[in-house]
Amino acid sequence: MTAPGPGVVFAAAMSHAPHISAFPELAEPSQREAIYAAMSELGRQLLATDPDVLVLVSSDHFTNLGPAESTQFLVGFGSVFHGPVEDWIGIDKREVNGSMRDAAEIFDEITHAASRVRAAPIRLEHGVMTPLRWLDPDGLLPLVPVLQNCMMPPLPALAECYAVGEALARVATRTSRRYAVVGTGGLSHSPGAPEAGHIDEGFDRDFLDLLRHAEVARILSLPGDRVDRAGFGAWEIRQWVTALGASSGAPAQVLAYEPVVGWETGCAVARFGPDSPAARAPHQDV
Amino acid sequence: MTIAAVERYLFDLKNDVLLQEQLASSPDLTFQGYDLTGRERSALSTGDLEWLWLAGVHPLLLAPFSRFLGISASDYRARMGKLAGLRTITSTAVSAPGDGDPR
Repeated sequence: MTAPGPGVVFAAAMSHAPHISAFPELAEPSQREAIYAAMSELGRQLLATDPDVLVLVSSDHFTNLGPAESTQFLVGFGSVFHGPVEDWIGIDKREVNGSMRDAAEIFDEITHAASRVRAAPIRLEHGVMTPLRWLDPDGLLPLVPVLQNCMMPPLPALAECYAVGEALARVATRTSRRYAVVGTGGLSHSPGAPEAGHIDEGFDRDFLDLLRHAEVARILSLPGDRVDRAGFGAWEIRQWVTALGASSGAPAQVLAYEPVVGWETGCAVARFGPDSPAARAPHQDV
Repeated sequence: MTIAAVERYLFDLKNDVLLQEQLASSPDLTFQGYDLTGRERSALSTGDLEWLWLAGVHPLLLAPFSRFLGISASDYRARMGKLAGLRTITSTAVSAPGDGDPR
């Protein structure tokens, strides 16, 4: 029997707006450079933890989950994925290696933590490919994408997303695998809506402060109507909450926050618990 | 009022290149197999983004549709901007502001 491994060695979250890669010129240069530098630094830190697999938790923007879909959590199942599906986001289409072994373990564990979970081959959108461009530009890590419903109510509860993150940590420990877990999306934005371009900086900064202080109970009880006022794109804080759960509620180190009007998004990059025991443990092959 | 059939159509359109090509040449043919009302067909075939928005279509289905119609991003933003405040999206429902025809 394999001894329990180090578990989640890296947990983080970041925005994934397609504008980040598609339209760099639309951002103020200082804001663009701050976000690009933070994402690059996050990628450097991620690879430094020597993970076995990257679990990237994103929303789906009507590529894999339809508008009448009842699935709340979709585990991407495949040895190879293709993306991005979009041809306008400034990222070349490519193959991304998956890990079916890890996907199967994750699916099994998540079904015990959440409802309406399924696994299937998926196509990768900007929610995965934009972060990957900075986190793992050379495709060194096998990927398990996990998609959460952030588009069509009823949405999964924040507590359920946190529980999914905890489930990811249990899988990593049980299988003695070194997991990097990154949630992507948000913060405030309203893509495609009349309110596109409105950024709720107050919401974003308050949310990041809660993460800095690891106020898990307050985060999980954020009123839905308050999140709504930050724009429906802010529903994607669910991925931040999942990553927080994967870190067992560790305080966040915010690497950058910029309300980038040209990208129509409050953009942020953060890492959870960089000093966790799992992150300090040396890599042991199993 | 439900716009489920419209959203199903727009979802399929977003993910089917052949359907997108057919939209340009024979839009009416793309509606086959979808339980659309006459008003919905009219809005889709004429690119009536305003009606579709007020009817409750999700913005991330509406925006790709506008690209398939050849509407520029700036024109889309300008048209949508005029609809600010006319419909609220909440996490309890993505829906039209009221029942019935939005106009």
